[in-house]
Amino acid sequence: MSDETELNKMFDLTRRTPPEPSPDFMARILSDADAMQPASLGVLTETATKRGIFRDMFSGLGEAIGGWPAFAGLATAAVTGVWIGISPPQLLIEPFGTVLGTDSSAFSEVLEYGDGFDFTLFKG
Amino acid sequence: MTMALDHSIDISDDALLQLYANGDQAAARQLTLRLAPRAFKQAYRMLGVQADAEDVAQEAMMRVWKIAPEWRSGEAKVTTWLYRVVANLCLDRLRKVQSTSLDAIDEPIDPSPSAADDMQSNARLDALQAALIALPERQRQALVLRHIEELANPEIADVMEISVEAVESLTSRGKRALTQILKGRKAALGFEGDAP
Repeated sequence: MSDETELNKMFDLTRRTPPEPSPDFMARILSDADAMQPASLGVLTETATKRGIFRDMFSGLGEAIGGWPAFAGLATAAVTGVWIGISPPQLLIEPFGTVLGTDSSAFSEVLEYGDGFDFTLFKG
Repeated sequence: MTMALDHSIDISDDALLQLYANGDQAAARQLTLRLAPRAFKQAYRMLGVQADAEDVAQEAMMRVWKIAPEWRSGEAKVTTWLYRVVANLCLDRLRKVQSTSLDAIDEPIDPSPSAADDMQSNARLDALQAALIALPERQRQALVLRHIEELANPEIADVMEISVEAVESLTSRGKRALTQILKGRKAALGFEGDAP
């Protein structure tokens, strides 16, 4: 019998008698599988996804209006508006009071419509 | 280990990975049953130490779980990829313990009685495993993949990331080396006097 044949016999025997892992080996593999399965991290993934949506939204808006300096401008305008509302400068008090009131003649003075203009002209 | 997963038998490894990535626990079990013993077997033939082979197979399977969400179906065979992972992990481990003596090699695991129910079969199994361990790593790897795992040469080339010609050369030299190692043991292994 040739060396090749003998070797092939030994390979054949080896294939037919595979080594067996220890009993807890498969359990360890399954435990790893459970621990690493993406769905096992569901809460984390969901939170991350929501955070991602908001981050993407603000990122897109920022890019559309010119980046973070635009946000700074918007914030300044908003704060200024609030400040004017709470404590308006003296010169603005009368015109604002007029606009918010019901005296249409004073309103026309403020807006300089000129004599003879009357909102009643628009009434049907 | 008994698991009611017969319904998954026809599902490809690719599809099971996808199912696993989507949270299907049955897919995890099916992949474990399909791939873990194979990874262990390959690692054991390379390392010859049960505990080391289990560690390598477990690490390889962790890489399976990790890559599942990114796996691109159809681009590569899962088993080929796993063979490569196991092979590389084995080579890493072997290089870390270059000084490992044969004393550290386990006695070969007892095969099932039905497959090898006599002393001669056990002697042959032991002799081949010991001879494999004595080979240079790359020759051993090529022989294990070709003659024990029965992969085709192109797939071995893919696993080992070498040419088909290099695989042929490694297996050829490996077989010659095995023959030399086993030459003096023909009588003990019961080959002398066998019918041709």
